[in-house]
Amino acid sequence: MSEGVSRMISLAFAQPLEASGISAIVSRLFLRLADDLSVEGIVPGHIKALLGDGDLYAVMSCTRPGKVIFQASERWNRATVTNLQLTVEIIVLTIPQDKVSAVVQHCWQDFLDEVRKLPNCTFKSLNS
Amino acid sequence: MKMILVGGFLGSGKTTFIRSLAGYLVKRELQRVVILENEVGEIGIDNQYLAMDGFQVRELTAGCICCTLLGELTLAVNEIGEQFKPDWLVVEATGIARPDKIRGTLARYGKGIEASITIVLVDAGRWLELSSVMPDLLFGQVGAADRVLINKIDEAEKDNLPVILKSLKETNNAAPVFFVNAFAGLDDNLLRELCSNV
Repeated sequence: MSEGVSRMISLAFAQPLEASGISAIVSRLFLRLADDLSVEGIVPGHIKALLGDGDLYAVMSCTRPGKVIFQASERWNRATVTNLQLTVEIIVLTIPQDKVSAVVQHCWQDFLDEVRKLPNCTFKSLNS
Repeated sequence: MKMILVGGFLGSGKTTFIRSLAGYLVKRELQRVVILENEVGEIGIDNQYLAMDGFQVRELTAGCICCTLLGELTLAVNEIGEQFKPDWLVVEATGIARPDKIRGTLARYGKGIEASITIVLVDAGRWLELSSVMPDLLFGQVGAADRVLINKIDEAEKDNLPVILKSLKETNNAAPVFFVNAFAGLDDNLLRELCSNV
């Protein structure tokens, strides 16, 4: 059976940040993942994420390069946050699992580098 | 309780569809609904999303209910029936599941299911590619469907839609097929039609 690759982190900001700014960074992560995990112009699987803080949430989904589907709670686009939990899951078939893991690891490191540049941001990994 | 089993490949729109379906049953028909979410990964995303929307959700993660979690599936369904006594149980299979195996297991060991229907979603934008590289899985899912929803029609080339329909009909001519865009919203008439046939 195919295995998914998951990443989960909690983000904390000393000063409130716009929630939409965080989802934009996750969107860039998705676009990179989809570029590197596509076959014949599609992702043969699913890249998805949940960003949440209480009743404030955004769900993102990607199945083809260049397109991220975004659904969020009503307040998301005008909300600011000081804490967020991010869960990302990637499951892709027909590409060897070790290649999928390597791509995810590489893109995730780039994502974390971008997160580190956010003002007064700390984060903690919640899974390996 | 009545059961709606929702299948279809990874990213075909199952959770988005279930959100509309369960919302219709709860808000329009005032029914008690429990959603059983199955995800391959260790961390469930869809169950959290649906729970944030206020739905009653039970999760089974880190495996697939058509193969590695067959026992857990039976236990979960039986517990849901006894504990919640819902009018409807909506089961979301993983994108790599074979719905016929799930139905077979529940037909033998599931308690309290008075009727069921299997709805399979097909991603119009990826069907031709996916069905050529993973035909056994994709056509196997469609073959088990009582109803097929060709979803994400906005992502498909218009000329491809009749080709997709033809390939689905060659696999399963008995199941009615509907063209939808679940992300944009589903018509109550369609949801009523799907539920009324259970």
